[in-house]
Amino acid sequence: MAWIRSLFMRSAAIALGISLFLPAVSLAEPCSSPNKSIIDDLIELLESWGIIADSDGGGQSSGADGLSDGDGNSSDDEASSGDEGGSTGNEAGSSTGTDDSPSDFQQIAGGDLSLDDAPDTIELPEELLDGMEDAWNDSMPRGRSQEQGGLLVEEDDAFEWKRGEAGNSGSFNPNYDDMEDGETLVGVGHTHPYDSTEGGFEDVSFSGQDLARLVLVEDNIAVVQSGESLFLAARTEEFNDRLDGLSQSEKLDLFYEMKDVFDTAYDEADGTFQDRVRSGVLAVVDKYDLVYYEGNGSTLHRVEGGDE
Amino acid sequence: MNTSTRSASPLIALSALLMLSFAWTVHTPSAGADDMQLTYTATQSVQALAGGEWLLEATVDALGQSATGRVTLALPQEPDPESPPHLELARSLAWLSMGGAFLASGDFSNAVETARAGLEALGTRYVSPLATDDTDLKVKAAEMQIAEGKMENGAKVLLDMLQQRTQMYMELNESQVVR
Repeated sequence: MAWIRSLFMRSAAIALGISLFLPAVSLAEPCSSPNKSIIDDLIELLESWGIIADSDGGGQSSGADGLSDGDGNSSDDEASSGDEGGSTGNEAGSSTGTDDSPSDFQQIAGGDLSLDDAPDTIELPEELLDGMEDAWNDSMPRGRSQEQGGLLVEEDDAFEWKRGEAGNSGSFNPNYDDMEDGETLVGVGHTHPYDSTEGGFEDVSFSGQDLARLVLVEDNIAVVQSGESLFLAARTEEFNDRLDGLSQSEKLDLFYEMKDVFDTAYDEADGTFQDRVRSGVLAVVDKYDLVYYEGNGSTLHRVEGGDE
Repeated sequence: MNTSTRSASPLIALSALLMLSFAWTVHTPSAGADDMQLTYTATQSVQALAGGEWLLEATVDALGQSATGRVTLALPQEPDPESPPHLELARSLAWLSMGGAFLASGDFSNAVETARAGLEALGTRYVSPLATDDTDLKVKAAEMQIAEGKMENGAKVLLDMLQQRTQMYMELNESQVVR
């Protein structure tokens, strides 16, 4: 019976197609411009799941859901990490960090440092380093790439790495549900593995979405490890100012705009795959006032587009 | 539950069989400087199933081949047959199926073309913005390999990313996309 139905469907489709819809249509055009209805649908969908706050502020925005309230700070007082009495960062002499420069990473982790005040180098805490190394070591099971990652949280001036479930070769879902009361989210780290089929690349920095999602989440930092290389992007006071007062729809527009900026810079760049990705990253961080660090090991150095 | 089982339901006989046909030209980046153009015909149909579910089928004909993507939707009312929700998913699944067939037969060039068409058909709203989605980087890496003549690797990665994106799309829309 299936072939009869198929024959009928095909015949009817051809007849209708000839009479009604034969003019060729380009797919490229509709895909190139944001579709507001789709965006709105997505917002409604995310709101219905309770993972994004209502645009009017009436929805869920707990301190543990990983979502931004508009200025980079959690709306949950206990999990506040910004400029209103938050507990993360800005506490010189804290027990976390290294002995040599205990405050640099703390400042970055606070998520509200101005660009001018951002340090030139930062020392990553052991918890983050070990967590990322552990994640990287599991990122090529049986020779196939598989992204890994987790959360860096802070409680009582101590960092903790919370490993998430394995992703797949092209994505990782942050384990925000692992946040517990009293913990402050610092950020999400994940890996960028490329197996031999995928080119075997290492030292691959952030994707456009890795950076753009900072508009929508409350992560203060984003971290990627690819091979021996570590990359860190952090929100700043200036970035938070950009988000201040934006509706969720406007944030989504900004999200897609940032991805477009990344893609344009990538397309226009020359060099290796890693070079072009880096060009995309620098275009985004420079335009949208994020601060960006690269390095191997525990010490990362700040990089700006103007340095290139 | 597969489609043939669903087709045996008496409700099918009572349902409206709605089909539309389109001819498309998709512009895809090529390994060289010139854009490739893949012209294809796309058809779609919507059938009522039991329990407020609808079977959306999208068929693409291109490069001498035909493939169909099927999606079962849970919708409170009959979808608009001209633009049913999640048509992009059904159509990208059709491309994924066709691309897999080309890959299996060793026709890597056409596997690349169909994978690109599938990625374009699905669009960019396939994943929650909250996820750390890096499939775009993998697609870019694949295109670099294709530009270097490594068509098999490029085809495999593009199709893998298309498969992952369709999965993410289904997860994002799990309230409506049953399977």
